[in-house]
Amino acid sequence: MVKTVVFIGKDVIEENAKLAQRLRELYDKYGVVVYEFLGGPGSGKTSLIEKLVPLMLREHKPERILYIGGDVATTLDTERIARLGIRTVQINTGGTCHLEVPHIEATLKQLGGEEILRDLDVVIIENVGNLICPFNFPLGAHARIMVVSVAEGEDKFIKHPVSTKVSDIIVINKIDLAKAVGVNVDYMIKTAKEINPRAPIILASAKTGEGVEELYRVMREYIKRART
Amino acid sequence: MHETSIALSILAAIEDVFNQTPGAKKVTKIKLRIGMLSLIDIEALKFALMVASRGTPAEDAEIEYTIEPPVFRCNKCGYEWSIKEEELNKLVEEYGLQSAMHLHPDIITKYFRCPRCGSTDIEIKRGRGVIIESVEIDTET
Repeated sequence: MVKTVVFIGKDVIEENAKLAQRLRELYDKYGVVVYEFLGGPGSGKTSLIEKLVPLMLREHKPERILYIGGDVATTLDTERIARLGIRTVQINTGGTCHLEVPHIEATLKQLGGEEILRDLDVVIIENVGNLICPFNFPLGAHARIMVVSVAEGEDKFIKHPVSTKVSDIIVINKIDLAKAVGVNVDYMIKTAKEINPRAPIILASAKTGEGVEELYRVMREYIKRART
Repeated sequence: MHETSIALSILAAIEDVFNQTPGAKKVTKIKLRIGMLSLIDIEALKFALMVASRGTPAEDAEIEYTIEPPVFRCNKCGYEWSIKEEELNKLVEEYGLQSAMHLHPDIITKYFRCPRCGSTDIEIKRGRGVIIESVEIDTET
């Protein structure tokens, strides 16, 4: 027996980022804007999307909006979004705590290949409820929207600094509950801003509709980026 | 849980190398470099590698790793810095950060700030990766 040492020097995180970059190029080729929603379970990602879709429908036909919902099990979230009349696809990861590029590629394939993107304006990806793992696996979205609810506690951003850092838009949701749960929203804004000074911070409530128009206005700025 | 996905990617890359190595019999050692900010739990990764490698040439391979300290860059003044080794050792000692991965929140906020101009508008240039440095393979003759 002889020992052979083979140097590899391959970064598996970087490899995944490269796959995500390929997806981004594909989205851009067809001029589709892609949003990815990330956040812990129960932070209100689906409820926010339910409020955003009607705003999108003011300028896009329902068949030109695709929602991809990632969950470990069930089609509950996707059923909620499907009621709004847009296209929906459910991905059940069966245990995996995040979506990966191959999930998205398989979805596009199932819908008839990358050509399907020609028929779309907007893709909304709702990642599996989790504030850690999905941030390591970008999906090529133009904007990664982090959703944190006040009910999760005011230290959320400091406790998840890396996730906070890599987000493009930060939503502090369930703002109508801030008083009831005794959370200092100013402190949340301050810590989020400190860790990520670039991302706009939107105070919102999917329940009352507060901040949803503003969130959509900020999201729309990414449409231009998708077209250039 | 994402350690499993990372482990599968690592094993896939190793299998490619194994298949391209003439006379390869078995992978005996895997050397990794794990970024301090990779959000990887090393024990979980080792466990995932152990389970996922069963029945593959990398079964029972020894896992060796080093921690890669992060490199930051300030977007405002362009300064680049890292965490010095003695500081890193202190962190590991003080917080029992064997994996140095689950950084204490106040450490993060301390390092997420430019030491030259104080801006928090900084970029993580290195330290988020999981790099397969090398593998040792037993080969026939």
